[in-house]
Order: sequence, then C-alpha cells, then structure tokens
Amino acid sequence: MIRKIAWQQLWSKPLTTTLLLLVMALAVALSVLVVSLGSGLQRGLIAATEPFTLLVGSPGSSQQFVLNTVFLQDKPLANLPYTEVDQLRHKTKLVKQAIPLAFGDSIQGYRLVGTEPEIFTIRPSSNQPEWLRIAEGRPFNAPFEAVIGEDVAKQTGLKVGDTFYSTHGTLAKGKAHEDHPFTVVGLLANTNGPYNQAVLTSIESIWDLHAKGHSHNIATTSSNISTTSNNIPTASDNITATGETNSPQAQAKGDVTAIMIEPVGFGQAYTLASLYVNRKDAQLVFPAQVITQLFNLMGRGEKLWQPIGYLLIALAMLVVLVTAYLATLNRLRDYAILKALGATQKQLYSILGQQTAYIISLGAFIGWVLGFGTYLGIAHWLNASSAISMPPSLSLASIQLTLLCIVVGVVFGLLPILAFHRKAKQLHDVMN
Amino acid sequence: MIRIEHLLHQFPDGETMNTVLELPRFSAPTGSQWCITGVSGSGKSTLLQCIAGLLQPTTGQLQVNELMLTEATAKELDVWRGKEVGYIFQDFNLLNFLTVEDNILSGAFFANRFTHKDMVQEMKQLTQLMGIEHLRHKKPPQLSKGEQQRVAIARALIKKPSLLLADEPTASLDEANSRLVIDLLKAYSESLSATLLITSHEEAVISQFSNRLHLTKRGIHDS
Repeated sequence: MIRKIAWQQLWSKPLTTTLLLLVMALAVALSVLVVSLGSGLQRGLIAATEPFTLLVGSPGSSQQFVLNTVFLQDKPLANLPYTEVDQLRHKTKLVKQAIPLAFGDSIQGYRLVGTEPEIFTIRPSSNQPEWLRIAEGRPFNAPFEAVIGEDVAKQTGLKVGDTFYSTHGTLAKGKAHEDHPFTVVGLLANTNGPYNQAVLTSIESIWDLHAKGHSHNIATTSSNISTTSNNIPTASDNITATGETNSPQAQAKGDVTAIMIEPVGFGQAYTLASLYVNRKDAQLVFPAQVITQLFNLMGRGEKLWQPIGYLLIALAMLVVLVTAYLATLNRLRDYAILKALGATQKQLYSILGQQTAYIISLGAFIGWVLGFGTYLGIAHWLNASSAISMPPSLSLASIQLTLLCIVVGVVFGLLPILAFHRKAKQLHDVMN
Repeated sequence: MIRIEHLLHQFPDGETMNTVLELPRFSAPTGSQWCITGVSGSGKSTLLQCIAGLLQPTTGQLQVNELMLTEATAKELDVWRGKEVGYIFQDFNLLNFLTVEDNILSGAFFANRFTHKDMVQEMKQLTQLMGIEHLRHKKPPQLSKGEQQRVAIARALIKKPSLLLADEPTASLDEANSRLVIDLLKAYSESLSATLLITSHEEAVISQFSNRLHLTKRGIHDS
C-alpha cells in the first residue's frame, strides 16, 4: 500500500514528475555522454594504432604523419626512398618486419594504399588474429590488383571482379588515372578501424601510375622540407615516381610515404628509435605515443569543460531539489490525511523516500540509456565517417559518474524529507 | 472510555492567547454515543481532533481507554490512531490521487492487523452497503459530495475502530440521507461496542442522541 501511495501520489502531478525525471535524466545523460565520448575516442584511437608499432617517415609533424598513415586522414608527408625499407630489413636484430606504404591517390575519396602482400601477415599482438583478413577473394599479387576495405565496398558497391580508376590526390574529385584500371581481387573483413576505408594495392601499382605521364611525388604534400644529407627527394623536388636516388636498387623502385615496422622486441624498438633521433632526413614515431600526447593536449581543454560539466550537473540537481521540495510542500495535505489515518512518521518518510528513489533511479536509468545511446549513435557516425572505431562498451568512468549522480540525487532528494520533518508538526494546520 | 479533565486549547493571536476550547470535565463510557453540539467556533472540531490524538491540547488531561493521550509520544499516538480511531472529517479529506477502492483500503492498512484479502473483502461489503460499489475505480474528484462522504464513512469503518469520530457527517446530505448515515453509525457503534462521538448543529441529528455535550465559545454546558 505504501508503494502504491508513493507511486500514485508521484504521478498525481505528472508535469512536475516528468520535469524531475527529465532534469535527472539529462544530468546523467550529459555526464555519461561526455565521459563515454572521451574514453571511447581515446580507446578507439589507441586501438587503431595497435598494428602500427613503429612508423618511419619523412621529417615533419608526427601527428600529421600518424593521422595520415594510421587514420588515413590529413595530407601525407614527403617521401622516403625505398632504400630506407631495404636498410631496415637488413637490421635483422632489431626489425622483424618492415612494410612500405605509399599514399597519394584515392578512389571516390577513399585512400589508395600501395604496399606489399606482407601487410596481410601483421598481427596487432601475438595472440590476436591478423589485422587485415580477407573476407572474400584473395590478396593482391600483381600490379593493379586491389583489395578493398569493408566500408569502401559498402559505399562504392565495388565487389570482387569489378574494375575502377583511381584519382590523383586524396579528394573525391581529383584527376583520374584513366589509363590504369584496377581490378578488385579481394574484400577485407571488418578491421574495426580506419583501414575499413582503405584500398590496398601493390606498391608497384602506385609507382607505375606515377611513372607514366606524371611527374610528381607519390604523396603530394604542401610541406617544404629541405633536401637531406643522403639526397632523399622531397615533395618540393618534383621528381618522378620511379625515384631518382643514388642506389641502383632504388632507381628500379619508387618512393614510399611510410614504413611500418614490427620490431623484434620492446627493447629493440627503443634501440631503433635511438638511431633516428639525430637523423634530419627521417623520423621514427611510436603512433600510440603520438595519440597519447594528442590526448594530453586535449586533456588541458578537458580541465576547462569538466568544471562546466560538473556545474551543469550541480544545476540539474538544484532543480531536482527545488522541484522536489515544492512538490513535497504541495503534498503536505496528503501527508496530513495519511497521518490522521494512522500512518507513522516512518511510513511517511518511507513514502517520500520511495518517491525520491523512483525519480532518481528512473531518471538515472533513462539518462543512462539516453547518454549511452547517444554515444553509440555518435560512435556509429564517427565510425562511418572517419573510420575511428569507438568501442561500444561501457567505460568505468561513465558508471562511476552515473553512481555519483545517483548518490548526489539521493542526498538532494533527502532534503525535502528534512523539510517535511520540519513541517510535520504543522500537519494538523495543513489539513484544516 | 474517554476521560477529560481541565482541557484547554489556545493559540497565539498577536500578543494574546486565543482560547478555542475549554472543557473542565467530560467522561464517555465505552460504547456510548454522543453528539457534540455548539455554534461555529465553539471548538467542536478541535475537541474531536484532540480526542483523535491529532492535536495536543495546551493543557489538561485526556485519556482514552488505557492510553493517556496527553502524555503519549507521537509514535504511540500514530499507532493507536491507526488501530483504534475511525475519523470522518467534515470535508472528507479523501486522497484525490487514489481510487475510491484504495481510499477505503488505506483506512484499514494503517490498522496493521488485517490481511490484504480480509481488507478487500471488507471493502467490497462496505461499498455494497454504502451503495458506492459502482464507484470503486473512480477518483474522489469525479464524485459528488454525497458520494465522497459515503467513501469517507466506509474508510473510517473498514478498520472496525473502537472509537468512531465524525465531524459534521451529515453536513452535505439531505434529511433522509442524513438519518440513514446517523443510523448506520449508531448501528455500527452498537454492534461493536464502539464509542461514537459526532459533532453537529442540526436539530434533526442532535435529537437522535440522548448523550449530548454542548460547547459554547469559551465555555461549556453538559446536558
């Protein structure tokens, strides 16, 4: 009966109750969304860097380099000669695998990534399956064969056996290489990352595309890097894609935009990194470290918006408190009647407590569903638009914040009970 | 058994104290039926509220059966009221957010001595007796004054109280219905030996009671 009285009385003022629920829900939703987005984005970005233990590329912004190579965003840096790949492969005590990547062209806005078939053997860690798995067809094994990412297949409708032309540059409306059709030979399984939006082909295809009739770098770039000590060509050199370097081997091969390195071990990774510290013609980055640095930078911004978030929650709780207090005062006549019927003070507190619990728990639940639902929606949208795969899982912080909202809500919800306690002695007057 | 001695209730009115009830002595044996009369403002409702333990008098002693109301704690009063007192308010004081059925059941719930099944059975019988069976699922604002009053009476009777207090129970009824209600309350009092105290200023009602307590403003007359 107490439960029934609490519930029915609560909903006898549907507007007030709905307002209370809404405020509570919005406070929780906002908190859950903000925290989930922060941690989801961080987890998603770091997960995307997992297959890329180390990256070697031209000097320049390490963030731009990682954004381009790992996330297929931003413009590529300048190129390195293929000799860099060979040199790394010779460092067998340090390097397990060195795989070249060449960027610069695209298909309907999706990046064309020139590489070597070894890329299909890369595992983010030894206990995980291959990062790039073929869902249908086979890997490329000849120039102008392509393996397309899941998103590319979905968005372009390309399937195994289809042909397409790449365009120069990374924009969808670039100049088409109409004399070099690519044939789709395989579809990638979902990578849960940016490479769902990649079109992989043999690096020779890229060199070939740019060798005939084109005289620009593989990777077009606006950076103006000075020439280096060992004559590594840069974007401003306007060289041919076949490469004009000192090495005869390199003359047969073109340039690369980045080199993925799988080191032999953790220690070897740092030894390798030390070899690049003083090099002015190349840089070695730890992509996970770059992303962490990026988040540390963003963390400074977080310090600004976090208090604003807490302020919003505090304001929401204040609204809950004031509305609940006014609602309690409006219901004093009901409590007086119940007391006249024989309800004890404890039973009246129980009614008030249950009403607070309903508002807080229902509000928190709705808010949590709303907040997490919005997060999933944004994650889905981000995944589709930028291939950043944010995990659809709960973050501990969002649960902690929801619990905090509930605790604060309960504390605030108890205040009307205290107000009622003060008014309890006047119940007789209220009824008459 | 109700026993009252030197009961005085006052409230502050500016710098002076306004006396709303003064009753030097009153005694009502268990099962007796009383009509408390008096003009408006003579303290009839205040007296009933004091006897129900809803209002602590300023001074005096008030005892109902074994319980000294003027010395009992708030919790003791609540529990006692829930078990022993059936109160019919002048303006009914129904809970507008509950249905007729739940309003009546709430009367028994706080007695804390009935099973839900018993309460429901009793509620059905009472609604039948009061002719409000068809209104069970309606809420008080949907009822007429007369219907609301019958719900209030059913709510007071469902717990089978040993003390039945009715504040102007016939105020909104015509003469025929007024007689029916008084007959019902008296019959209930007789069948369960419950002490009945009603307030009224209607001659037709007063004449039905042989025990009368007449209150006047700042004074009383026992007849």
